Amino acid sequence: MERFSLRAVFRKEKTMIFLSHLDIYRLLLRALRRSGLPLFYSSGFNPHPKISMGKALKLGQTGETEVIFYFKEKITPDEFRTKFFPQIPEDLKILKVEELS
Amino acid sequence: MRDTDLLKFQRPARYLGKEQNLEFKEPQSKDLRVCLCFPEIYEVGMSNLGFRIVYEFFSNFEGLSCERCFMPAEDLATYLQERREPLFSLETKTPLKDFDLLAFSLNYELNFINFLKMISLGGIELDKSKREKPLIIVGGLTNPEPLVSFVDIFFLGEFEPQANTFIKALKLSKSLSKREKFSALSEIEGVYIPDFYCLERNSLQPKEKEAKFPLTWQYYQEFKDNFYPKNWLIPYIPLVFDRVQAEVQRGCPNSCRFCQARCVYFPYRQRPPALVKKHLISLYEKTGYEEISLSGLSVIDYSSLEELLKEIIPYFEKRKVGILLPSLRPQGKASKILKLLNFAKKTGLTLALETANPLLRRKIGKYIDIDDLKELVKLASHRQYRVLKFYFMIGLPGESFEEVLEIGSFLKELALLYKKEKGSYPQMNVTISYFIPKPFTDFEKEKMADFEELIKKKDLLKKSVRSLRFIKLKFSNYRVSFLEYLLSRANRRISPLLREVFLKVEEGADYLDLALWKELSQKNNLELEYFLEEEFSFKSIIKKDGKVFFKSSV
Ligand code: SF4
Repeated sequence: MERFSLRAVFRKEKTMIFLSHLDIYRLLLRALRRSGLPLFYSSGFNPHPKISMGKALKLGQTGETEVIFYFKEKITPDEFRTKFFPQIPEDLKILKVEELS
Repeated sequence: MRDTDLLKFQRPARYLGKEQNLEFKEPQSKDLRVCLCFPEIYEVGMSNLGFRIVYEFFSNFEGLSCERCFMPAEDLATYLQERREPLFSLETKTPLKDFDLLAFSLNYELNFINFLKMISLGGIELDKSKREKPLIIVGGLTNPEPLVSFVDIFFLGEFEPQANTFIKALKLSKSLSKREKFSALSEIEGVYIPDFYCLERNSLQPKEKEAKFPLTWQYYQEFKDNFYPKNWLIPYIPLVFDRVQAEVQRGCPNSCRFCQARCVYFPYRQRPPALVKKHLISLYEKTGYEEISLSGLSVIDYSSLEELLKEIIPYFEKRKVGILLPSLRPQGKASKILKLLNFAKKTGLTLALETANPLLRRKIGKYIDIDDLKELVKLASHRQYRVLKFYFMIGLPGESFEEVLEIGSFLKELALLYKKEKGSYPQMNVTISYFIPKPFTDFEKEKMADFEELIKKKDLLKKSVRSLRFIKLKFSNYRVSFLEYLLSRANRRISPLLREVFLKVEEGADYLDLALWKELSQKNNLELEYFLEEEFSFKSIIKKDGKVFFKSSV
C-alpha cells in the first residue's frame, strides 16, 4: 500500500516531562486516532497507526525529538496542523512539520 | 507539594491530575470542596467504571468542586509519613484534611487497611467522634459495620437515583454542625448514619428519632443515557484495565447461589443496544483508545449481544480497535459470539467454571453448556490462543475431595481436545479461590471451610495435576480469604479491633497475620469466632420492598 509521511519535531515541557517515551508514544497514537486523518496502520498481530519516533526523551527532562507520521493519503503540513495540533496537550509543543521527500 | 517534587517518585504521572479530557473547575470560596478517594493506586482506581461515573457527576455539579485522591504507592507514602506532610488531592494538591467532604468508593474488605492509611496520611483524626471535619462518606459496601468507628455516613446501593438530592443536601448543610448535617441527610433514601443505630442482641436497632428503619437499598431503575462518563479521562500511564468501557447491563439474569454481585446489583437491567453503541462510539471519538470493552456481570447473557456486536464490529474493525468481553460463561451461544470477534486477535479466552463436577455445579446454581465449552476450546485452538484462563472455587458447601480432584481430569480432557485440533497443548492458567459464604447470597448462613480442609484439598489438587505440565495453578491466599469472610459478616464490635490492627500495622506488623487479629481481639475479651458464630446480618435492617430483594428465586 502506498504511504505518505510527515516529519515533526516535538518539544516536551512542563507536565509532559512526567511522561516516559512510551507514554508519549501512546499519547500520539491516541491523538492520531482522534484526529480523523487518514491513518496508515502497521501490519501484524496488533495493528496500530504507524509512526516512528526519534531519540527517547527521559522521564523528568525537557527536550526535543522528532517523529515521522505515516498516512495513506497525502497530507499537507497545514492540514496536519489543523487536525492534529488540537489533539495534543499544550505542553507538547510541535516546533516544525515538514513533508518528507 | 510542587509538581516537580513529584518527579522523585516512581511513575510520577500517577499524581499529576492533569489528564486529557479533564475539565477541572478551580474551587471558589463558596464551593463545597469534595475529594473522591479510592483506596488503591491510581492505575487500579482509574480502571473502576463506578469511580469514573461518580467523579464526572460530582464534577459537573454547580457550587461544588471535586478532586481525586488514590492510595499513594509505598515510596510516596513513606516520604509523606517521614516528613509529616499530609496526603493531598491530585488536582490542586490540597491536603485531605482541608476538604469539606471525603467520599470513598470502597468495595473490598481487604482495602479497609488502605482506607485507614489514607485518612491517617491525610492528617485526619481516625475516630469520627473526635472530628468535626471533614465529613467522611463511604459507598459500595454490603457490610459497613467494621468501619463505623471511622465513617460518618454510608450510602447503600447504587448512587445514581439519589445523586442529585444527596449532593444538594450536602451543599445546603455545608455550614451546619456535624449533628445537624446528620439530621438533614438522614432524610434521604439510601443514607445510613451508623450513629443513629445501636447493636442490641446482635441486631441493629434505631436509637435516634431520625433513624430510618428499615433502610432502603438503592438502585438506578431507569439505567438509560445519563450516568456514563462522557468525558473519559485519558491517563498518561497504562492502567490495569486500560480501555474505555460501556456498561451494557446491571445485575445478572443468572442465579448462581454463591454470587454476591448479582444480589448487590439486583434487579437485572439492560441498556438498549442502540444506546450502548452510541456510548462506545462517542467514547472512542473522545479518547482514541485502541481497545473498548463491554462491561457488566456475565455480559454474554446480554440479550442483544449479537445484534450489538454486528452493529459495532464494522466501525471498530475499520479502525483496528480491539473489542473485549469479560470472562465468558459457556451457556449455549458463547462460541457463536467468539466467532464474531475473529478480528480481535487479543480477545483470548477466560472461563469462570467454578467447579468441574456437574452435580455440584447444579447445587451452586451455575449453569454451563458443555458442548458450548468444547466449541470454545476448539475455537481457541484454531485461533492459536496459546493461553486459556480458568476460574474455579474449592471449599464449596457439601463438596467432596473427589469433586475437587475432578478439576484436574476435566482440564486434561479440555487440553486433549485442544491438542487434537492444533497438535500441541495450550497453557492453562487456573485460578483457584476459596469459597467464601457472602451475606445477601443463598449461602450466607453457610460457614467457610476451615484451614485444614482447604489446605488438604489444595495439596491433593496440586498433586493430581503435577504430571500435567501445561496446567499452572494459582491459589488464593487463605489469610486474605479468611479476613474477607470475617469482615464481610462481623458486627460493629469489630470496628475498634480494626483500628488496633491498623496501629500495629503502622508499627510494622503484617495486616494478614491472623495471630495478631486473634491476640488483639482476646485483649478486648472477644474471640474472633464470636464474629463468625453470631448470626449478624446487616441485611436485617434493609427493606425488601418487593422490587429490591436479594434472594435468588430458584
Ligand atoms: S457468578 Fe453467576 S450470578 Fe454471579 S454474575 Fe456470574 S453468572 Fe451472574
